[in-house]
Amino acid sequence: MPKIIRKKLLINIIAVVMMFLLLCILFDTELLGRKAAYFNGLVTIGMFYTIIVCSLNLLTGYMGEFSLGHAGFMSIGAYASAIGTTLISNRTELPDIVLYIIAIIIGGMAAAIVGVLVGIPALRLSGDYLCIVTVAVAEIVRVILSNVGIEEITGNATFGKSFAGIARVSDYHYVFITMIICIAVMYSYIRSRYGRALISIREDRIAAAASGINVTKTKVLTFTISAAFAGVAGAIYAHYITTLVPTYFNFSKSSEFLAIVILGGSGSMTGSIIAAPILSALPQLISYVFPDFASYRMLIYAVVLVVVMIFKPTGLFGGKEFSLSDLILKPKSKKTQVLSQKVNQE
Amino acid sequence: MLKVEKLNVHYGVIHAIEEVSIEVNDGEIVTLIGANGAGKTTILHTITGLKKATSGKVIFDDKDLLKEEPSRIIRHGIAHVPEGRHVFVDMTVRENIEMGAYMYNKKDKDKILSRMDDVFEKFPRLKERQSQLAGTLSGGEQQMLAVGRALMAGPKIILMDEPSMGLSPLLVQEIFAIIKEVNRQGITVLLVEQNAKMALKVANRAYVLETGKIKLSGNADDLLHNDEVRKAYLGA
Repeated sequence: MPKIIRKKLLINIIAVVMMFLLLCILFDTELLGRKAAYFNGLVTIGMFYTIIVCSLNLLTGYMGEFSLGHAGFMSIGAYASAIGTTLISNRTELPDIVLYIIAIIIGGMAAAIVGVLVGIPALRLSGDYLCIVTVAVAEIVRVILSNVGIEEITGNATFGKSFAGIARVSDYHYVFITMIICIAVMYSYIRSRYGRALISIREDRIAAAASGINVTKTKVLTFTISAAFAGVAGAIYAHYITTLVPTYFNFSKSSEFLAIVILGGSGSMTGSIIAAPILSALPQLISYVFPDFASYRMLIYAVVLVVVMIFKPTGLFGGKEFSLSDLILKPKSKKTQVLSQKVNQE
Repeated sequence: MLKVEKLNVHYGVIHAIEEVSIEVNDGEIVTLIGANGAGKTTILHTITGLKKATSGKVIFDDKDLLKEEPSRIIRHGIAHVPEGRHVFVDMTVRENIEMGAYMYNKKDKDKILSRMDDVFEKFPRLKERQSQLAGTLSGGEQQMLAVGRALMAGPKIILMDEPSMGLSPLLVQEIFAIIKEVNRQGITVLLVEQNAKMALKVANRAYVLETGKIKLSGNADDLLHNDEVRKAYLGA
């Protein structure tokens, strides 16, 4: 491994660990007192939002296709994992962490399977047509979930259409680590040869195909990965909220995810990572900080969206990435860039 | 080397290519000329699998490629320089060229690098601009980049779709010089052109395509002096 990459990796690891410690200090000590639980909730929600928004950014920013059905994939992950863990914990006692890992694996796998099944026929389409298909898929999933008898499968009591009594295992420690792993996997996917192929398809489908890239396969693979991470986010959500209602995963949820992607900057992972927790917490924070304005919070949220779109139509990051390690290593990294170019030329 | 036999292609109900047969021999430059909408691009797209044919055969080195996926066809040694400026505008010149070697693995790194040197030697202007975004290149440079990218695959035959389109007369000369140079190094060329005069000058043999059918074929020199061709395509 070249020295510069090792150095960057080290800086990133240090930053991640520091963030983790900060969260531990905030929530595991008495620092915030009784408010800790409230902020803990905001942060956990922000973290699964980050996962799902990044997964959607894979499609929107890097593949150049819109999906308005990501809430559908999220709900598949949520329900599949919740049914799985409920069945398991009805039979045996497992530690939280094991149950959590099982939930995430089931959620991701279930959403990935549906992603492949939908992706193979749907990705022959593109643009508006694909977008409509994703909306339809999400709606079909929602209608099925509204009518399926979860009570009969799990034996849990259900109230109306809600699925209650899911084990609460999405502890923020686990969720944070999951989020970091998810982001790392997605980021390395983009930087891999498949990611390069993906970007070239977005730029010019014909030229990409002429260069020997299997367009359909690359698109289906990306769609599946994106769906899988949406499923992971769903699993985290289910095991945090503990009660699932199909109507939560509706069309406006899907469009909220898309709005966050575009606001953060489509094609910028860092944009999504920063925009997702802020925007998911913004309505809550507004009502917390200004209790008088609580009823206006959705209005303020909408105004923020409009203002950003007017002044920064490409989103906050506009397709660029922010790199902490580049910032720290800047004077040196430029020199090494020139050096590495010289080496390449020779 | 490359044989297209009784090819039929439809766009919906429109019969775009009718019973077209073309043969390209090893080491030749063969050109396909014809007016707008005659079906020249469609034929190239069918050869590389980007458009599915209704019937017929595309035989390359004794293998029928008609049912193959586009991503497999390039591995047989057929490179395609698509019409217009089909470069990846948001990638650098160097990244664009690297994309041409997409079908190779990491273990072929030496081969890729030496081929990249060849490409940069042929197109020094691309070497100067290797870290520039492809979208900022001029039309002629983008065309060179598309050719350079195709060469990275180490093809036996290169299909060029209207390389002179939208270029200034001086650049057109340059592009055709490059085509000759590529051919001199042993790569067979199938050239689709609207600029019939230039195409016929560099080519060994030619086919004239009219509304999806082969109207004439023969030696490029003969066609250059054929009255019918002169009237219809050379404006004299």
